[in-house]
Amino acid sequence: MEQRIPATSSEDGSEGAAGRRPIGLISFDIDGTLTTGHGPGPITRDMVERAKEWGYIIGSCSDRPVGDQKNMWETWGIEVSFTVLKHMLDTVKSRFEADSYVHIGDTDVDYHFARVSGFDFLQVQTMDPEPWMLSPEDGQCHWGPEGRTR
Amino acid sequence: MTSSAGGFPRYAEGMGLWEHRGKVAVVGYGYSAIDRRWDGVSMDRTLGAFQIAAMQNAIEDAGLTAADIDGFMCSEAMAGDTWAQEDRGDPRPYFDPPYDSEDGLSLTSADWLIAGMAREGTPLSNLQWIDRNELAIGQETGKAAQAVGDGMANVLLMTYNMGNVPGRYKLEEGAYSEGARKWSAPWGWMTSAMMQHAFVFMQYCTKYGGSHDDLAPFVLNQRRNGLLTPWGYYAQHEPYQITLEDYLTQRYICWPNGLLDSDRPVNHAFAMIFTTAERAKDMKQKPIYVLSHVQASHPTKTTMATLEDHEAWTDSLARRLYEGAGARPEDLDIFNPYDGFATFTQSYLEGFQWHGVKRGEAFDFYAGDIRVEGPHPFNSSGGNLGCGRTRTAMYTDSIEQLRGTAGDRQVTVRAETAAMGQVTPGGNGHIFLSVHPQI
Repeated sequence: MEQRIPATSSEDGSEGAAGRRPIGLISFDIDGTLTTGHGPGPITRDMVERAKEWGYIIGSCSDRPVGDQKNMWETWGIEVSFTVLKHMLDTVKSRFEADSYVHIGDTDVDYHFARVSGFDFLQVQTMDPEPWMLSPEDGQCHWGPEGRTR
Repeated sequence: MTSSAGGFPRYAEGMGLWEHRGKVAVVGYGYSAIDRRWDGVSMDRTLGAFQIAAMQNAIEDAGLTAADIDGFMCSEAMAGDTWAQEDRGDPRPYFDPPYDSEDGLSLTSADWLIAGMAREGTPLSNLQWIDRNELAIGQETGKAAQAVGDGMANVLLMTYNMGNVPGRYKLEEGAYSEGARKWSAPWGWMTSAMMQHAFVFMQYCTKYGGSHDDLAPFVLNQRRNGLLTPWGYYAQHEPYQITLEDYLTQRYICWPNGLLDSDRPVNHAFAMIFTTAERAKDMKQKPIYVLSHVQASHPTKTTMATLEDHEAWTDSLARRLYEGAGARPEDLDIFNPYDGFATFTQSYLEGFQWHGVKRGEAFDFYAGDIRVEGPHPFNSSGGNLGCGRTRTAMYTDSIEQLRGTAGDRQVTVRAETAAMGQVTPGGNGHIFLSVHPQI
């Protein structure tokens, strides 16, 4: 049986009540969510990279075959913690210990699997920008070129 | 200008040889670019723009000019969802003419297409016969051949599209499922279609043995053939081969119908040109003769069809198509049956007894060598599963195989005849083509 990976303190030293900084896990849908999707979604590579830098456990959960998900992350040059099929999102929760679990996607299928897997769901078309989505330069959220109209 | 092809549709048993066998030919085809969805911005990549491009490409392929076309056929049925999507409470605005309505965006009317051809400098200025009444390409091709054979048109341009706009595809959401749909499709159209075929497929597995996983070699080979089709969706946009592990771990949509068993909606258009065999003799392309066409439209006895129905219907379909062409199963070289869901394609394979496959033998056949370079190059087009939900790859591949221009997909066995069609066993149209005017 695969061992569950425990949450660890963030390197920035800010710790929560449990003696460490809360660790969040973010699962990204691809098509319609990330700018690399078919069709392109609004979440950019910079945003995802920033989430990782901030200490989030990140990965993808998509109907794309796992091999294609891995290729996408390799193309983006971002090392992620998981790449799973959409109906296997629950395995992510069993593998990683975190204080919060969020799946970001664009369809009601994303909503469904987030809900049955014990994840919070953020619909990319309507969500308020998360702090890690904001540019450090101007504090604004710069969605991808296609915007959030899909 | 109205549509009336006297010998269409051809539903009946015992019709004998098709009266125009070998007297009608396919002399051109063309297709558009392909996208997953129209992006809502690029006006040169709308469904209408794609269809105009496909028609122009077909005319060029045939070595004709637009003025040579005297017959026109299209399907005005909507393939996917509307652009405006008012039923979802999320209305989207239209655009400046000619995109100031659904016409050109999520469907294309004959009038819109004819005006579009004129607008783009290729006016169909000599049209004598127009037909806009068929639902899909399976029926269209047969009717086009019949119309030319009946003398309604001398050079007929037939076109078809499958559209996809942003949003979920064909869910037919709404507060109520009305009329007969309250029995057959209470959870939406696509779910209902899957349920129907899942049900028959499970009957198939029960009767003959096997399981969903026995479809894996077929589905993987469809993707392989699709990747060998340069214009196809996967070759263009997601050029990777799916693996056996991908197939076995796929998400089920309506068990045992999985995601990889289901074709992927795309935005695409296609066109073909039919003319008389006499005219075809001196044209740019080698004539591909039409030897037969048949259609099927079967009401079900209950809310769902059964395996018994599907087998009887596809037996009849094959029998009538062969009879019309004066052919036998062993005369059929290229076979491109429909694969909108992988779970029903074996009905056609076994009904047509292609390469000797009888009822209940499809899984064993799939487990053999069905690659295009092998002895049993089944569905060499890659179909919808390999190229996206165009419904036209079966036609482009058949023409290319018979012309000998299929490139990396060119089969190594004899390629002098081909049969293809769509959609489901309960309602479809099929056509039989040959490089010779008769077998």
